[in-house]
Amino acid sequence: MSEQDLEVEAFSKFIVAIEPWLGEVVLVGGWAHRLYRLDARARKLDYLPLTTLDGDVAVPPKLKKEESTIRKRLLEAGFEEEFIGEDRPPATHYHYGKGGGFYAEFLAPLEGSEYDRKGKRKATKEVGGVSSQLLRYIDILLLSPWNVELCEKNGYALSPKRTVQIANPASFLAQKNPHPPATRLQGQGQRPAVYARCDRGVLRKPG
Amino acid sequence: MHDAIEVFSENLDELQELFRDAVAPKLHPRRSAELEGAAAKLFGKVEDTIREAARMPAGRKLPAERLAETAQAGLKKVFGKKAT
Repeated sequence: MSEQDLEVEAFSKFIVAIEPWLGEVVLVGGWAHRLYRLDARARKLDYLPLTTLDGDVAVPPKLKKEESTIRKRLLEAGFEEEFIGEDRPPATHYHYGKGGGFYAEFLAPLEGSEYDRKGKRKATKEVGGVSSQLLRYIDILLLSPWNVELCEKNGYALSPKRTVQIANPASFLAQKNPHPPATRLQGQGQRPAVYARCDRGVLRKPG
Repeated sequence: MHDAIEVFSENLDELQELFRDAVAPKLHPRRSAELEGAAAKLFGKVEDTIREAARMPAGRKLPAERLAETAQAGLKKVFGKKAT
């Protein structure tokens, strides 16, 4: 199985795990970019979409309650948690497969001040049982998402097919534009400005 | 950004409409103004950041000038004030 097949397999398992919330969460970042190619409005280009290992998922401040939680379902599906940094709850990556490969992380909108009453930076928050990084402008990505169907026919190990939400490209572009210094991504998960100017998924060594 | 614009380059009118109808009304006016000027500000001049971005996609040649030109035209279309 090629590296790409393994990634697609892991991503498909991830989609099944978060199925109860597929109508609420929005895939953003590199995976949204990759899935754009499946949209009927996309041009057929002669190069492959840029790949990325991380599956960024934008979540609203609250998710509907289900019998299980996203965290429980991910662990049951074989994902493993990696805790990043010292925030409480800690920022978490959900890895599938040993030795790296695909991992998912959750991002929620930072609302109001960046600091709480005690002057501590609001970096993470638990949503649906998972720790989500709080970032400014994530709400833009939740606006008018597009739907994409994933199934065996278009290369995803999903039967029956699943419909996922991806950030609409206008929101994607708006969010990618660098923000004023005071509201740039900060702390854990911070990316240098170049990531905002070019997609995070392109950060691969040339050649 | 460049690739997303290229993927939807035949439907930029729709993205413009989407931005105006669904996204811009939710933004702070200052942020909308920033986006309006983003095309020229970010891609008006080929700088090191753009050259670096152009070298990143593995397995294809993307001249920095072309990246800047495409991205600038796309952002201008989607976020610009009037249809161009």
